[in-house]
Amino acid sequence: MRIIVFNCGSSSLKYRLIEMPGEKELAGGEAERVGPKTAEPARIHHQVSGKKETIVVEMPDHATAFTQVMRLLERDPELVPDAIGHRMAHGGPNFKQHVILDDAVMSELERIQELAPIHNPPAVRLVAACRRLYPTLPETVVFDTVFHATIPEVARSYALPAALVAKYGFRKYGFHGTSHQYVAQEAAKLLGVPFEKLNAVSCHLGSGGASLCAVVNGRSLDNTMGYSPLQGLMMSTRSGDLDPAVALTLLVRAAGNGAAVEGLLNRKSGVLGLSGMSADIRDVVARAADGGAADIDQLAVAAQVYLWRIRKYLGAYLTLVGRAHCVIFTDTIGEKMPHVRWAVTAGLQCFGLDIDPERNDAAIVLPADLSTPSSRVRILAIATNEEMAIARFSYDLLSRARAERIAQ
Amino acid sequence: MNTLVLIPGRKSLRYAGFVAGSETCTGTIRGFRWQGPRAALDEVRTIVQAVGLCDDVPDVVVHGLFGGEDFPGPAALDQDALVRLERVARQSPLHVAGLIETARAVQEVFAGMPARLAFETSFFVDLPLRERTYAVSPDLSHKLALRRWGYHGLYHEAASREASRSWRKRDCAPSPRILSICLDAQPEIAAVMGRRPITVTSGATPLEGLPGETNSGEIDPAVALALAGEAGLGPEGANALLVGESGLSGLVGRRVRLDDVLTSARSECVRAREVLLYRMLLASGTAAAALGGVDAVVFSGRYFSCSAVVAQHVLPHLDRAGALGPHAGEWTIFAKPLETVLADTATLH
Repeated sequence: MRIIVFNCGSSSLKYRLIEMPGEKELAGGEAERVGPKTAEPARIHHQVSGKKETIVVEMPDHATAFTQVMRLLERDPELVPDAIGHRMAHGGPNFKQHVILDDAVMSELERIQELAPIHNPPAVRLVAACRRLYPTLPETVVFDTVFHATIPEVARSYALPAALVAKYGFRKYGFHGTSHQYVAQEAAKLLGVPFEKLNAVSCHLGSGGASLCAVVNGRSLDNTMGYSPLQGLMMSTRSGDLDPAVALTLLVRAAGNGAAVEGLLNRKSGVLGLSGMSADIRDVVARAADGGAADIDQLAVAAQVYLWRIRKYLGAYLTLVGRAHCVIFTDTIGEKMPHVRWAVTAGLQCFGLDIDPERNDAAIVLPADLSTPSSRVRILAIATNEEMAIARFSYDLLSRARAERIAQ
Repeated sequence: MNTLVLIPGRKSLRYAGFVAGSETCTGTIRGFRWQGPRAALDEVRTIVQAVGLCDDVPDVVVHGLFGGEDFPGPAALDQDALVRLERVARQSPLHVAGLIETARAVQEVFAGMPARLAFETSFFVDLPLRERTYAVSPDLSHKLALRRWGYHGLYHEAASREASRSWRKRDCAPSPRILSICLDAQPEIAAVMGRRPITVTSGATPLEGLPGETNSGEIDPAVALALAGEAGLGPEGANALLVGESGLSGLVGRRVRLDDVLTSARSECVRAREVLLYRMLLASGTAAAALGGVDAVVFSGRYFSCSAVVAQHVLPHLDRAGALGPHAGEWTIFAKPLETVLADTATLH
């Protein structure tokens, strides 16, 4: 079964065509600058069997981007998809499993899309376009929040009046679940531990969003993100944790303009806001380290705050997990920045973490074990592959549905 | 030496008189705000004169919640202090404006007696930059005087001092890594290296951090904005709800005290207790990571008598994770009330 997996960003569309169950990647790429015209033209970077090409084409919306991607694939009959798997950031309170798309799912997706106003609406529009343009292709929807459906009530509750919570649904959801689950499963394989027995802290440190997840017996017990992806770690442009009184003070200063404050906290804070230089922590750490920048102190502060918040949450979750098998680093920063991995784990021998600086620096081919032989808790760097995870979920869902149909 | 301690609150004024270090009188004057601090302080003066506190000129210690960076320790209550307080008032207008009014009245009512101010935030003035900085632009932080504070510094400082003293008796390491847990109406956990705080759960205001009797504690900032917008409360209404109707009382559905929640067998309290203990567990793990391990655990605050409930929940987790040193399981209690802690500042500083 060939499954095309779509990962829809606000102005981009990443895709991978994966042959399942063999998990062979047949094609992939990314449509960039989807939406209103920008200074540079919209284009698709398309890759088949190592051959890359870039196609410049207007893509005013995700539906057009999808159509263009399908046209590229349909040039080769061997690359025509049998099914579509979608990544959806937020599943709301009711999607506790990944699902096959039908009318009821579609209407619930539309109902909850404002829970993640940046991520869900373009993805929902894409799902609708796929349905309209390829009505015979089965579609699955894989939610970032599903892995966190196991977070117990005590951890997902905010200390707010019950009536208010019931009316507005304020609770922790947690995000990046697909990635956390994927790397935790890979870690279990690597360590030879059954996934249902794995205890770990997974650190998904992306160049944009970032979160930590406490995993106990293969289930998510907590995630640093909350009701929205704003809570938790300091991220590229998100503030992360912030005194709620400060958010309300900002609202007063913005004359009640909530969208302006949300914009400030989601898009102009974090690494970008604190460094004043770049939203990418790699730039900030490099400039702070080389000492060449005039505003070196501010860069050093930005780097320190970024690392400190990870370290604090790592301690919190290691305490929650108890006897952890491993700490996992993944996604762009977690996979490619030895300095970050070292800075947040060094000196935590009390938690059983003993990172080997040489192994850490040398870890280019992943997965890699970065800990010393005597480290009680293994420190792993594992490349995340959300698209592969989505393909696996989609294949399982569709295979089960087919088996049920045959059984009937 | 005699000492008079004054703790002005929102509605009442607590006082305590100490003669030669022993508490001789204590009480609360109700209606403190509506009748004005002057009348309440006159009443206190009459009471303490009657027990002989003023026979030997006492030191007067006035409690302040927020002193900002202008007050890194207790300070003499003089004109200079009032000028600094006026400056600080921009950062915490509600708390500081009331304190200024009280301080001026103290100068009048207790004229001729040496008076000093002692602030909860002083202990946290030198909180490390990485801990006190929020991830927003430096310009914004500067404009709003935005940074993290702790709001039970007097308890944390006194409890850590005592824990360090005990530690030094049994070990030669100069700076024990202390997990300091203050059980008060707004509970607070701090990581203290010897005498220096490294982390604290509260934030720019006491609203952030652990849930309190009526404070929500930490929530997603997006929820605060949704309360103001989607729920139609506006910023002031949302703030009032988060400060006054949330936290443990919000979870239970009626006004409760921290000790009720920690000890009651009533079902509605059980869930609130679980939420609080869970957050305390995470905060303790955070503190352990900040310190690189924990040598000593000390409890303080008005509800220190509930320490065992918290210790029995939190410490086994820390121990299982490996973060407790060999003696940290033998947690201790710093049982002095705030009045005594404040009286001690007259001799310690």
